[in-house]
Amino acid sequence: MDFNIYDFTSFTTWVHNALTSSMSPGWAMFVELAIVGVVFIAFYAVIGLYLVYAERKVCALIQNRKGPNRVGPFGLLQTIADLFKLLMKELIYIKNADKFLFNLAPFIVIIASFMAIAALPFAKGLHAIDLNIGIFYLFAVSSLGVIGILLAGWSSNSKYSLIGAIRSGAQVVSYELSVGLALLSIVIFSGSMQLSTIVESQANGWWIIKGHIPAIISFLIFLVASTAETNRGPFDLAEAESELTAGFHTEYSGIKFAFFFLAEYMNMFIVAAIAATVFLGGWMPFHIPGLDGMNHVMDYIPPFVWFMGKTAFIIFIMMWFKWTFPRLRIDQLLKLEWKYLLPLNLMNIVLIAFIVLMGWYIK
Amino acid sequence: MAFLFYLLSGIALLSALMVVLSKSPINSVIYLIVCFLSIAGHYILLNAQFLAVVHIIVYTGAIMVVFLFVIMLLNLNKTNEPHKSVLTKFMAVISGGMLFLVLIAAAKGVNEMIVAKEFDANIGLVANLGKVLYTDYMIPFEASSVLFLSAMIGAVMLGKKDKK
Amino acid sequence: MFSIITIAITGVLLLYLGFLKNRWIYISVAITGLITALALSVFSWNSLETSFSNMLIIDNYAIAFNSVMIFATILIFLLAPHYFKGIEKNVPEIYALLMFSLAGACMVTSFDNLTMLFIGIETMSIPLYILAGSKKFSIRSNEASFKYFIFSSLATAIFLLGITLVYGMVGSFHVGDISNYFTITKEIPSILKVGIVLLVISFGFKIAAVPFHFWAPDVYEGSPTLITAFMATVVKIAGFAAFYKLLSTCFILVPDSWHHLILGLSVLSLIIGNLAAIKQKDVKRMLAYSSISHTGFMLFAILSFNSFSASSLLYYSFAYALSTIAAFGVLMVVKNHMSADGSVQAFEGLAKKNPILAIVMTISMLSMAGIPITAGFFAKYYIFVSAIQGGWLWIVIIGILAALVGVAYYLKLIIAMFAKTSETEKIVTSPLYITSLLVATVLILIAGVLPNLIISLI
Repeated sequence: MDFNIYDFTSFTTWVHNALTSSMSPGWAMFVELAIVGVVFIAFYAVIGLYLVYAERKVCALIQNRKGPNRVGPFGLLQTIADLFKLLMKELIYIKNADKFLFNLAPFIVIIASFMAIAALPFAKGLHAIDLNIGIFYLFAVSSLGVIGILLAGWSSNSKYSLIGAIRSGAQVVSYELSVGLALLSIVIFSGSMQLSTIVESQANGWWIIKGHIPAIISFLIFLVASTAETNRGPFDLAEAESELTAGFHTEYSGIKFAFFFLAEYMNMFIVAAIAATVFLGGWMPFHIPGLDGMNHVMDYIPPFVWFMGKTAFIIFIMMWFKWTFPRLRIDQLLKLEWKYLLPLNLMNIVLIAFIVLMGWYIK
Repeated sequence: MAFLFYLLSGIALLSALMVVLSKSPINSVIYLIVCFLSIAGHYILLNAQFLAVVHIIVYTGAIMVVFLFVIMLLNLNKTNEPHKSVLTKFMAVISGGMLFLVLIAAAKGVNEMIVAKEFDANIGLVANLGKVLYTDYMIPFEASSVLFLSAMIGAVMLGKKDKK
Repeated sequence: MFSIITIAITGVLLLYLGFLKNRWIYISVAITGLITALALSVFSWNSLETSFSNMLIIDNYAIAFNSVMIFATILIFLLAPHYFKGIEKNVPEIYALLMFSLAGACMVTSFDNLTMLFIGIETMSIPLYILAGSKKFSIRSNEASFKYFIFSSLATAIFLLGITLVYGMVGSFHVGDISNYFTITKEIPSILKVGIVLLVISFGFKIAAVPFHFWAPDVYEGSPTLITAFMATVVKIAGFAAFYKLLSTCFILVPDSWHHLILGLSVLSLIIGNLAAIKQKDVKRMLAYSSISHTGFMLFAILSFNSFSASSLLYYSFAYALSTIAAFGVLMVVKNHMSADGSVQAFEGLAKKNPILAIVMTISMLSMAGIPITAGFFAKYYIFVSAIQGGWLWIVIIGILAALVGVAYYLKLIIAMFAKTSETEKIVTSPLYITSLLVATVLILIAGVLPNLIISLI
């Protein structure tokens, strides 16, 4: 076995061969699934926790405070402590709530975000499945989470929750369109929906650079729409604290609340990762044609770091949004989508199709 | 693969039954979602990944969300359905059962039937699907745009608030 | 093909013209578009067009039916400005939806592939669900829309199941492949027969044949009258043309799997349609049941496939469309000016108030009843001849009896119109309106005197 940090293909094939040679194919598949599952759960937990920490730090930075700084060095252990607090808390059940759906809802939300992680290419050869319709799959599963939100809001039997859930449903269903169309623009550029192919197609430059104006437009639309789709500020009407207490998860407590909380941050991570993969080249290092020296230096940075760095950059932008802009009203939110983003997006798609047809992009 | 097929079919049938049997409409919607997801699984077994994902996006992601929406807004959760007379139920059971019997009896003879078309594992891939859609099925594809346009006009027309 | 495209584009154009807020512009554009489409359709006569990988086949059969439908739509559009007088809301949308529905109807008659048939039927029906409910504040209109939607979707589901079973056995959606399958295969699997039966049932819903007619009276009554006229003519003709074509091209070789069904549908429609029509007080409901009984007659053509049945179906459709449009045209005026309930009593004294309308109505009723020198007579005559040629004498006897019963309720309306009343206030309608009705009436008479013009077409 040779473990190469720049290319995980040999490593994963080695694991696969080792497993298939030592047991029957059925069991090998099962063990592989289990390994992937365990790795993802661990990854999920760590990322989730540290995104919460990052959010609090970014918020503090913008509000000119210090943020968490007591538990552990720089407050790094703060969210772990919070997690333990949530685990210890009593689970409160509301009278007249639909028990089954009330318990089911957090799982639907978290499963939806879990399904999305499976398709992300973290580094060369390092992704769980490389579907030939990868982007489309991400788009599909990211739309499943809203069912959990709607159920949570409805089953709580509380007005705040219901209003939050309905807002969230309207919001997600609307902004899904813009997210999908923005991704479609890059599908037109790269001619493939497979994430690995899309990443490979950016070896000589990221799409946001190669696709110039229309790609930048769709990148911006994607940023706005995906912020809205994940119910994050300034589009966090579903859980507008000032008016709805906490929106759809008002009645949740303890670990179930933690699920929603975690899922929200993971959705942000997923969306940022999609943006990084599709627009910013995924794990591809930053290259400038001609400057070979710099390109070599860039190549030394492992792909995984590139991927996480780009994702972190976009996450930072999204947090910046949240702590800078005031919250929209629901009618403004829907107007923004249906009257501005969607027509703009459709025109942009036509423009891109034309540009690709004429070959007016950097090949 | 056969095991997966039977598993998915079992889930699909069971959840489809539960859609009809469960008292609360919101539970029906949940079971319908399960049913659609297992049908998407069938598409994947046929290597039609694109169709599977379209199925999830359209049915689970969009239509079911709209269903949930309507049920929530109308607060349809009353479990007391309008009472139907015994005669109606009896007739429904008889006619449904007859269709069932006929289909079962007809399907029994299918065992020795010839395969009408060889299964092509690549047909469900998005490139092939697109090629078929934009060449052979060009007219139905374009014609359905008229269909969707009229549905959209209808939604706007009926949904728009106007004064008496 | 070009006529379908023209119709669809006119529909889209109408939507944009809605910004101008001028109803004369809508109507002139709509009628120009329709006349262009009619011309394109007629000029492609005898030039067999099979385009786009055998999805559509525009032969003389399709052209003839399309022309009848487009012509009927032109007449309906001529009635429209008067009908929508004073209504400003949504008129261009309604026109556009009628156009889209017509485009669907034209696809339905010229399908060469079952997917095309399905999409055509949906394109035809979905605008109608909306149109049926276009009187938003009338509860009857809402009911009509909803009922039509529910029943039609059920029929669509059955239709799809039927297609699925046929596809599962044959392995193709293409009409030619399906008929080939039956020439090659000696022993037809029974699941295929179930598929055919399901297809027949779903068409039974669409053409409102008894016992699948329950939706028709309520929907006809509740929808705005103009839309009812469209539904009763264009949609029904399209349904029949498609039904005939489906059975005559795909399943002609296996008549035993659907013949009895058609027989049952036809006899029941004749009996129940006519008997129920006698009892109706509301004229719209009466016309709905009369339309069900016409379904029974038209099914004769399907029952007796021979060289003559297609042209007899065409002739019947033409005569039926003209009389129905004329009848509904008069009914609209009566409902507007005399009595909103539209019962038979409402027609009393129409002959005094507006003799032209009374004459139009009389001729249309006589034509529906099948009295000589109107088109309705030859329509019934040809369809009976076709049935007798097919060896269905006893059915023809039932048909003649049913036609006699029919005369009773058509005459009831005529008598009411010529009855004396004290009111003699004149009814004034727009010239366009009268033109449309007169064109329909004159054509009824011309077709009744010179039936060869149409019967020799296909």
